[in-house]
Amino acid sequence: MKRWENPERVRVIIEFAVKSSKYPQTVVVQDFQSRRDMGITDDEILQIANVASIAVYLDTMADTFKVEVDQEYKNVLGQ
Amino acid sequence: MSEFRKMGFKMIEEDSASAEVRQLYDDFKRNFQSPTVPNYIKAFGESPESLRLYMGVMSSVYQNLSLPQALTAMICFTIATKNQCLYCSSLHEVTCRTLGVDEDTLTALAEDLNEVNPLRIRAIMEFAVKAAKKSKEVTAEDYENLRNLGVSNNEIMQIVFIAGIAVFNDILADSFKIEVDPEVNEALGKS
Repeated sequence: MKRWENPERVRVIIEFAVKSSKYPQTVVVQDFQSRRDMGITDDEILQIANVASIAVYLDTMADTFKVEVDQEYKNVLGQ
Repeated sequence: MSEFRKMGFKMIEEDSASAEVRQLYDDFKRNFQSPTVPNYIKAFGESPESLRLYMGVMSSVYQNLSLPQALTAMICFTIATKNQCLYCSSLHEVTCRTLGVDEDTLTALAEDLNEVNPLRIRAIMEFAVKAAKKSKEVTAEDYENLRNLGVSNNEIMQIVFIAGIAVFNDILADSFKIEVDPEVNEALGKS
């Protein structure tokens, strides 16, 4: 199994990304250490946090301007 | 020990950075006309990829915005204050002061937007905070209110862009508990 195919590893990455993006002031040392214990490097943690922040930035833009979902995306999602 | 280091990360100083990261630090100082590399940048020293991503975003912001610098700084300061992000509110307070924002306005931005004058600036700040904190609740009336005060669609879009960037910065600073730079504390009389 490749590193990124480990579902437990992916789960803790997503949990960290959500916590840092929604409640950054509640992030504590254990959040980082538990990721390191799973083999996630500090470099990767920094990149994950950057991506999470970019996601919030994009959400802010899309929601503020009420941008409609493209029909092509709806088609792919069967909507 | 700083909160950032307690989280298990290394603050990479200029003299211990790899050649790649040192080049990025030099790019930062040149592009942002900064005599020093702030903690926010050194915090990414372990991840050149993150550093490049971050600097790419911020360089693009400052090269392409046409809003007045003071207005941009006021938006960032106000949102950082509402998000209780100490690093960003401190940094943007220094920027506001450097750009001539007066004491009464800074107090109003931090404590009570109803006290911000003139009305056009107050409306822009209220809108930016709403976009940053409650973007789903922004309505057509919010946009029309700004237009009635002479704010163009071009300016509105840039205001939202800055609001999003301010949130982006607050999240990173707070997630990693990045400490306020000593130069910033000194400028604010907190050292």
